[in-house]
Amino acid sequence: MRMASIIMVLVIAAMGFSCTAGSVINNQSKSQIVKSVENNSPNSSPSPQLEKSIRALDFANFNYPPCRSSEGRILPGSKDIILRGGEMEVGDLRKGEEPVNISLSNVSYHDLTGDTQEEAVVSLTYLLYPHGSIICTYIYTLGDSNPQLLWKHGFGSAAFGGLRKLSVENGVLLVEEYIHSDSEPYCCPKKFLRLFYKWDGKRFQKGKPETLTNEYEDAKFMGYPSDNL
Amino acid sequence: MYAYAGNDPINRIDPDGLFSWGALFGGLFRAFFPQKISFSFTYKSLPPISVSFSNNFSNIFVGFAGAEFQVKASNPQKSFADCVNESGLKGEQASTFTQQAADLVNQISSFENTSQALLAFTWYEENRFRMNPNPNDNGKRDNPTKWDVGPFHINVYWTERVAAAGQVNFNGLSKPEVYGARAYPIDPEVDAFAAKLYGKYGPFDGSPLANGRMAARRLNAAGGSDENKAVMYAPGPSRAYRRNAWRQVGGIWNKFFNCWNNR
Repeated sequence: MRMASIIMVLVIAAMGFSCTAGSVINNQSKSQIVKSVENNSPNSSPSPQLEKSIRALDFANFNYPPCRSSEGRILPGSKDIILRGGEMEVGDLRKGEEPVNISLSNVSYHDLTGDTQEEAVVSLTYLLYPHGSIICTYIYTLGDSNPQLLWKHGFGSAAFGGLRKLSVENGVLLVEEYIHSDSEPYCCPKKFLRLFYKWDGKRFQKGKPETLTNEYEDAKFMGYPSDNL
Repeated sequence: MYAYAGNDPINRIDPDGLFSWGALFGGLFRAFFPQKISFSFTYKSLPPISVSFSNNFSNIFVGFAGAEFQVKASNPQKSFADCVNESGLKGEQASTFTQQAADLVNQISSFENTSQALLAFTWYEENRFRMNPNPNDNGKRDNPTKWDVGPFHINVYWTERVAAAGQVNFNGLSKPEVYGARAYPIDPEVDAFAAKLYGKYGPFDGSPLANGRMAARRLNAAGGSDENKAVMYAPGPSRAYRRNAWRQVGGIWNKFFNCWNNR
């Protein structure tokens, strides 16, 4: 009886091993993709069904290139943004340094290049000290088995062209940014720009901007593409 | 010649030299609505002491031994609008500023010893004197701990951090009042009302005074001149603009509060 139990355990273990090995062999062509994902996402474990999808990338544990804000500042310096658990913080208050807290705010998926494959629109919030923020948006695609950056843009703080709304309409990225004038307070821009970014086969080309009136009292954030606001 | 009729023989008659209609009505009016109220009293063998004052107490006189002294001179109280005009406030700063806002600034200032001009300037820049503004959610609508809240747009996350670092304290202030219950419920486990509100984007539901007092503490913590405090309250990319704005209107705000507080 005891011997039978041991044999049973050994058989089950052997079956499990063969299934795992089979999976690796059968998906040999995808292993490179998984490898590249794992390089950027040490804690991620994409499910086998999503290996070829941009959705397999774990953007909460991901390395991003530095972001330049609308005012020309590179935040929070020239180093990469290394998110772990969706967060990164630089600067130590106790040492008198001004900190910046960077966190993953939104990921949505759309076909923005017209190739029927989804791209990821990823937005990070740079929470500035002592308040206010800059939002950086990246568009990634999965090409040559690696995540490739197609576009990035830093939207300034509310007073300096802050992001009002980000959405995708008919495969086109729609961006609204507040405009600040010196005659109005920091809080409350009266105008905003609406513009489109459309893929031309090589890059996202900026469309002609349209100036519109902000119908709200303040610099209200209207949402990301997946918010359906 | 017509002294018997008050030198006005057409309007006055004086059959017995003692009557005047004008004097009668004037006397009655003054009796019921006197411009100046006077009384006198004596004390022991001292000469009579007289006291008189105008009916709005703007002028007060004391007479003694034949001499009269003015102890309070007329100084018509300036209105809020007078002080706004005198100080040179204009545009949206003048049109959005209210007496209620001025009173709150004075209250915050008296608690935290922060200059009224600095508080008014900061409040205008952050929220244009609104008492219950919507939060700036910093693109994180589902995470109120990252919001900028209240009239002074205090960021919950950084305020908690500077408090933990000992740079400011919450003495005498409650967090739900400072941040509003949407961003900082008393206890979502037990307070069903706060839990319902928690994380729901909407107007500030805390205390403007408490929010302003914490803002004042953070302004004070920056140290240095009022200009430095005003500038350091803004995030890095906005500081050049904030410095320029302070240099343009800091003096004007000082003038306003000098007028308003010394009426």
